[in-house]
Amino acid sequence: GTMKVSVSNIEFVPKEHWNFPPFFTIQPVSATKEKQLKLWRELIIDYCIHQNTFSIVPANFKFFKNSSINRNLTQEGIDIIITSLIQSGNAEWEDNVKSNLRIIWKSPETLAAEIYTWACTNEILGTVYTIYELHSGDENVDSGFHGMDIVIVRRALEILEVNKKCKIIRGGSIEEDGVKFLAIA
Amino acid sequence: MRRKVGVSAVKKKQEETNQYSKVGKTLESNKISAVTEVMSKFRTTLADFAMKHRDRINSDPEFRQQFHSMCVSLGVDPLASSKGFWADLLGVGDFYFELGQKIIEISVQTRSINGGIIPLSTILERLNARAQSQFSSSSSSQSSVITEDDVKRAIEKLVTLSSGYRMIKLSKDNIVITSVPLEVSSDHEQLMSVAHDDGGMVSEVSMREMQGWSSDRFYRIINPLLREGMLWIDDNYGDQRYYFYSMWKDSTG
Repeated sequence: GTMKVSVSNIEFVPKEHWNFPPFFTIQPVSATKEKQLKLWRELIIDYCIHQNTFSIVPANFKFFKNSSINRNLTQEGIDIIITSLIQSGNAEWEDNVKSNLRIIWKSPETLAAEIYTWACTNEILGTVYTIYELHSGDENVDSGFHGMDIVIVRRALEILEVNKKCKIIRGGSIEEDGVKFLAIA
Repeated sequence: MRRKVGVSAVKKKQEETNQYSKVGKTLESNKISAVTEVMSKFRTTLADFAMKHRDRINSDPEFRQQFHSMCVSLGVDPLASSKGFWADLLGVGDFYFELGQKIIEISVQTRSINGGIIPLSTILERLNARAQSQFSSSSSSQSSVITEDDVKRAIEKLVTLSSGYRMIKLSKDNIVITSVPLEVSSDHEQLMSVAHDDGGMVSEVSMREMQGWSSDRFYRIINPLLREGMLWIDDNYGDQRYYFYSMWKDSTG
């Protein structure tokens, strides 16, 4: 299906376990820790989906602290959670400075399939579009990657190119790049 | 002044009782076959009644409770097995059997977070939330409310059928269910009681103050529960507390 991306006007509210004091202590027992890390990963991903954002700055991420119960994750705890997100394929540092963490909540593979289905359904095979048009143009709001993380969009298109489902025409920047979707032989 | 106390009075009373008891026994042996016949007539009538009111038994909790009491007083336990004459006829066994299956589902779904310890009230809440959201498949248009008694009976069945399910009665209104094998000692019960009254939390300090526990005793009891995933640790800059997740959640309402 197509991805409807819109910023919600309602503030993000984490699930109830965010108010559970032990949630802020990385659990020593491994089975419990696995559960806990899974819940933290989900919290961060849900936040990003809700806010339609594709990266967080861990040093400023407000949910690592809960003042209503007077608890916060230690830096070590934050690092463990970030490592867990990276290992699950849901995050990567944007650069070596490691201040911005890109959150990947839809894999390039999944996005590639969605984009190609959209292209076929909308009969745009053979036409050249700029990435900008498809990503930000008003007429293509249901393009499957409208408003999505442009870096992930580009990766998705590269996957399609490898599978001969599209041709990327390199321009000066990602937005200027063109793409032509191809019918598969 | 009449005195009824005294050894001779007691002896006389005893003799009277013995006389009655002898007569009773004679009566018994003569009448027992007659009584059995009457009882069996009751059961046939009961069977007819059950068939006629099957839907209502399944959908109306008060009616179900009364029916169950009536069965028990007639020496019939409709829950004795999920199969067999009574279960097939009444379908009542099925109701509790299915309820038990739902309870197992709930336990399994929540086990990774609560380690297999869950208050009865939480199970009840979840079952009723499910019942409300599900389309009723019975012919009755009434929505079936599941009561605490229903849950207790279903769990009693689970207790006999599978290991690990136990009802721990901490106080009159406070029952906790375990769905994993756990040797529940009185120490565990004390711990859970204190936790229940304190938002699911226990600490070395709270157990010393409430139950006079030494720190050795505290860690000896706590550590296995922590290892089994039944407790989470809250380490707030060295101030350590331990929580039963399900009790905490239950206390937040």
